[in-house]
Amino acid sequence: MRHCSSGQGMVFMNDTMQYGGIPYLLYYLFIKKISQVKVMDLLRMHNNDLSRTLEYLNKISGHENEKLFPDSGSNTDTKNNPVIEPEAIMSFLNEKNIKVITIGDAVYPYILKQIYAPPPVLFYMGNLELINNFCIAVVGSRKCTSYGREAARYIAGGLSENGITVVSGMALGIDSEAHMSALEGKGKTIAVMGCGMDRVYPPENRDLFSDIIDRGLVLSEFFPGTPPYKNNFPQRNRVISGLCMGVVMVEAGNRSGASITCELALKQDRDVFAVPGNIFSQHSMGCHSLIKRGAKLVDKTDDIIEEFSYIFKKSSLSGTGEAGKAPKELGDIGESSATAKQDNMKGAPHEEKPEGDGPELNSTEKKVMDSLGYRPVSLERLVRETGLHPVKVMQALSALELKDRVRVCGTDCYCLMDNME
Amino acid sequence: MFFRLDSFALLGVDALKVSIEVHLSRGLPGLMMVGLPGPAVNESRQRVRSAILNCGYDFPVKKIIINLSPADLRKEGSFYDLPIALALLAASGQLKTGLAEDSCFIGELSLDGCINPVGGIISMAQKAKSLNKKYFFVPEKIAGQLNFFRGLNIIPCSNLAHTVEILNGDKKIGDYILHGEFKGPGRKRKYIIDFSEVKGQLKAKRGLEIAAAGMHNILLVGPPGSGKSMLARRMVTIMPEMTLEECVEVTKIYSLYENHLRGLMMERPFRNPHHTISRAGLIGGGMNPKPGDISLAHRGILFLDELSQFRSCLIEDLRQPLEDKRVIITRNQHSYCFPCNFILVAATNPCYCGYYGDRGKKCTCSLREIQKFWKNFSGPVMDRIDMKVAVARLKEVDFVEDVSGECSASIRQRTRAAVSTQKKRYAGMNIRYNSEANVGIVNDWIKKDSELKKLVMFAGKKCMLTARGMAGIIRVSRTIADIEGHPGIRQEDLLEALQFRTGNGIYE
Repeated sequence: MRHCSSGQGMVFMNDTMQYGGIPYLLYYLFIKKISQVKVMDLLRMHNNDLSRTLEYLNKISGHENEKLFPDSGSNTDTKNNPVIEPEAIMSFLNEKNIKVITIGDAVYPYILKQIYAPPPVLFYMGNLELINNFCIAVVGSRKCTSYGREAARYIAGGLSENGITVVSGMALGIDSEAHMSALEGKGKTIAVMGCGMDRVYPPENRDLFSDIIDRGLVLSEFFPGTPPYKNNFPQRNRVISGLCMGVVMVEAGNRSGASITCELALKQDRDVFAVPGNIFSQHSMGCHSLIKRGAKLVDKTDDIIEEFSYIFKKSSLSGTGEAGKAPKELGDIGESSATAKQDNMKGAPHEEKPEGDGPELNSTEKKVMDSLGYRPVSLERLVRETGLHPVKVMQALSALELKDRVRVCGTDCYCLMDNME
Repeated sequence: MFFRLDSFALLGVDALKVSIEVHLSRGLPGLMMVGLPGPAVNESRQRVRSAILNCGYDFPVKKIIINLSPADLRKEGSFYDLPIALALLAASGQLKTGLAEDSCFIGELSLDGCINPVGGIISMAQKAKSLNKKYFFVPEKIAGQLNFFRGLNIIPCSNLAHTVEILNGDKKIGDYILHGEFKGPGRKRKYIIDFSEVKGQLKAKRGLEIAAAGMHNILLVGPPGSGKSMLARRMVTIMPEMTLEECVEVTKIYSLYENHLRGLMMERPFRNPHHTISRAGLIGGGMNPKPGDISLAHRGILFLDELSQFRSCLIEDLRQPLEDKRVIITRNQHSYCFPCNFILVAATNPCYCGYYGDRGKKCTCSLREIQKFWKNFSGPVMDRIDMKVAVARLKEVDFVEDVSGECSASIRQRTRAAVSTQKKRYAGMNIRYNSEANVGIVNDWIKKDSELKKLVMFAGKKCMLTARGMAGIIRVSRTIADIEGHPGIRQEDLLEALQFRTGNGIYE
């Protein structure tokens, strides 16, 4: 309590405002555990003047007011909070190479301030300039299909090519795909973490994490050392949607973290987009229910961009935005430029005729194709319907798979490749 | 008052000559056994004494010393009873020594003089032949194991008195030589289970056929109730018959494990250990090493049901045996080598709840759980499994439909033909089956056909296969070509083999 006794007056206040008051703000937020909402209320009470707010907090944090603070005196959470004194906070953060912005900073995104209870401070690593870019969140579930991955790459890559920054949560599955492909484009990417910045969660994304720090931006509202508690994630999701003008749900089941993000986005008055999937797929149920409720169906990047034409028209991005039908960038989503060129020649997938002309298909393969649909069927059924020998059907299936006509979905089931011709 | 007789000791599946020396001298009557006798050997003095007395002979009232030479090798087992009894009788002048010196003996005695079965007689007979012995006396009940054996006179004997009479010349030894007729492993086999009982599961059935023809290890992945175990149990019925040589190999191992084998093992073994099996139980071991389940599955199938439940160290232990086809167990005195050339058939669910990728039920596992589930399987062991098959649950329609599949006998014809093709191909090499072909041989297969090579490269890239995974696929396609009777691998064969790759509907 020695820094905080109210008797020290002006001297104390000068101390408080070192580093723009950040250490003390962090001290009250994370060590004294005043809730973010309470801090925001106090700020509003003091006309958003941080120094006056801190002065007030110092005043009331004397012994007689201990009860005001959830953490009264005894520091129970020392395990996860390595520092307990305001002076030590800054050197602690420097050591970890973690930087911090507060809601009082000019760089703090205006649109994030508009949401209910924006985080008063944000820790970050990487390129902070991205935070005020035009952002779109690309979210989806961790357990995803190959279609979901493909769609995430397609949408996030396209957005990034158009200079839009893709925001996501760095979870496995859709999130990771979105980050990875967005990093390659102009718009780069922002990852909002659900734990302290000094740990990588999930650990599988170690490489992605350092890639994003190098070329993108990683944000967290949690003090370094905070473990990835499961209730951190919905709290984190409000920042994802809050940073963005719109949220795209790529692939998610009915109850998933991604649908929480979309609900929050609706509450925050953001646009919600959804990528449709196979109607028989469990993994696209969440997207479909969003579409039913009025989310915009997205099957190409321009569907998102045109919603923001008021921003994009005058900016440098408008050219590509209006190119519309066959944007160049769509082809570049894949890794090798050679195949990308071919895709360009073909144009966007939607322009293709749905029935392939298939010059390379032999008669068995055609027969098998005829019995296949978008609904997964078993090998047994294919054999019954084509009347061919199982071995022939298996050969044809492998050949069709190599020709990108068929994909395996689930245990021993086949269906037509969704996204291709 | 001294006599020496020959018998054998077992070191793993190999036999070693052991001489039984008996010396009777004057002194305080008693029996002393030297030459590192194990507990069962030490107890044999009680059995021998009772058997001799009960057969109407005299137990010498002398100071008796019995030495088992080589004296520094620890002797285990009860099969020295008969030679000890005979040596005692010879040393005390109750048995003529002429024939006995040309013979060797093995057998456990009952108190009434009956001779009980023991293990390992094939190895012993082979050793006896190499020692140029004339006669080999074996327990009558298991003499059938040696029906095939030529170049040594096998005398089956049922009790001690009978044996003494033969050796004394009271009975003519020529009348008692084993003249078993050996028919060889028959082609007409009867099983109570058959492949035709399995409905649907076309891919899995074809997969097992290929695995049986080329001795490929195979992994079946599917939700509970999809019939993985049912399929695996029926795999023995489609495997080609064992050759005589293989029957002998298998019997030699089995007789160490099971004393009462009446004849040669003609059927390929199917071992299905529960996942709580101990390390020694699976690999082999113990103070006096015994073959484990991997050796008992030699030339047959080791079926590990619910692979995910096996402790991961057990799965890791399979690495070397899978590669070397034998396991060497070293104890301080000796190394024991057990052959273990088996097909590993493993079955597992695709995740903890069992329904990942299922059409009907929803999987309740998180992605992380599924990843953790598959991390339990050792990469090197998975690499040695050439074929992975996803097995789906049948729909009700498939149950009702009365289309019985192909029966085991007709599938067996194809696997038999494929095996004989491989035999020709690998004549003069130390491998027998496609699954044993190394990378050099595999490359030779595809080198000639540039179109095929192109397809291999394309498929490898497209399906993201590792070099080892691709080699596995080519080996499988070689077996498919053998089944179909193609001299070279055709593109169709490779395409079919691709259906059995990693990650085809199975979590990678």
